[in-house]
Amino acid sequence: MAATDPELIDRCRRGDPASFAGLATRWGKAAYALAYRLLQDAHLAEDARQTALLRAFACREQFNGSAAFSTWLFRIVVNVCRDWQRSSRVRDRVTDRSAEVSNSRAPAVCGEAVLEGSETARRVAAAVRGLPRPIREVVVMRHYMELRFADIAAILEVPVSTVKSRMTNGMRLLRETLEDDES
Amino acid sequence: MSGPREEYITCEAVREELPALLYDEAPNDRKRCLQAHLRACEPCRAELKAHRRTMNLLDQWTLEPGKGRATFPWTPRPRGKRFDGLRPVLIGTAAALIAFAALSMWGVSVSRLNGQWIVSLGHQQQDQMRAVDTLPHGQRRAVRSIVDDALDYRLQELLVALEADLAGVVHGEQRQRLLLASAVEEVRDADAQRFGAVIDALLRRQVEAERDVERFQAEMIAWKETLGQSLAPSTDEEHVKENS
Repeated sequence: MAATDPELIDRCRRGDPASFAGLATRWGKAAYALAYRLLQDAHLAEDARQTALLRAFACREQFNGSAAFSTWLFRIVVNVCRDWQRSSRVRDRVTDRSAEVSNSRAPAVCGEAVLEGSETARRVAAAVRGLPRPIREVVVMRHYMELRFADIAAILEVPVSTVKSRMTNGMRLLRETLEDDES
Repeated sequence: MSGPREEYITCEAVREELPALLYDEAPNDRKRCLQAHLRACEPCRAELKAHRRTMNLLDQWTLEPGKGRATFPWTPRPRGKRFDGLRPVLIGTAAALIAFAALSMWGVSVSRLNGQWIVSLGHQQQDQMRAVDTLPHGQRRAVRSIVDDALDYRLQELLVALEADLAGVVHGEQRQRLLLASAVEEVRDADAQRFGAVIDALLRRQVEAERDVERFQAEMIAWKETLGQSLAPSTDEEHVKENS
């Protein structure tokens, strides 16, 4: 039977750093997915995943077990993404890549339905990217990462009511943007 | 006997709770209450439908084609990043292959069998060694010993150089990571300073604004007093006129 997260982190603290690899394997993909949805850049998302895991390993003594390991790791991922989004270099790069994506055409071999689907996907990605950062974080974590409102509140360290309110605003803003695109 | 009273809930409160209802996170009693409101309220029902449409659109942005809302999707790693973790090993292996190829061109082949390095000579060297075979026994042993030492030294030198290359690559990776971490820290510090400066400026403006208000109040008081003084004699004069 696979060891649980608290068991692995406990072993890691007792001087078995290799047990952290189990946690990294278990949560690495999710950390990447979260970073990718927030940054919308595969290179940056991969770097964010690695940086978050390194930070988590370096700060493993600070993990007090009051929340789940995933909550703690996702908080680190969100902070790493925020740090990078503030950096103008990263911001420019994301903007450039977004422009590339929005200008690129789907491969000619794709069927009409796939082409249409990918166009909608690009529009949705652009709409999510256009959301204010606090709202975007909530929408990504609730809709795409399927985290519960209470978990998101723990990750962002805000009340659950704030998370729900941001989600409501996010849905409204997305609807306005996507409906504008359609018209 | 009447049933349990339904809790009154405003449209605004219902709309705040719609995401919880749509993502199935509302507690059962709250859900019943919301559904009761929705049955009776057409605008809120329309809002719910609009949210559902938005959710369906959001589902279109998948990271893996063909899958719906993927929680932990797989995405191909970008080109150039794919072998990041193996880079030192790949570079070391490539260096070793180049070195072995160079030795092969020189006519020497190096192989490993049962944990022992085996060095075999090429045709040219084998001819030379055959010529050595014609030498007297004492000289032959001395020449063979010199050749063996030279080959062994060359092999050791090669391995030391490879290890140094490998250490250099690993060190380079670590340095890059440290540089990245320090760059992140710098950006954070710069942001903190920038925001600190903005906050300081705002505080200064607030203090200035408070001073302006105080000055304005003082001016108002002074004006009132001046006005009072300027009005007072005229009133007295009118009284005097009326009395007269």
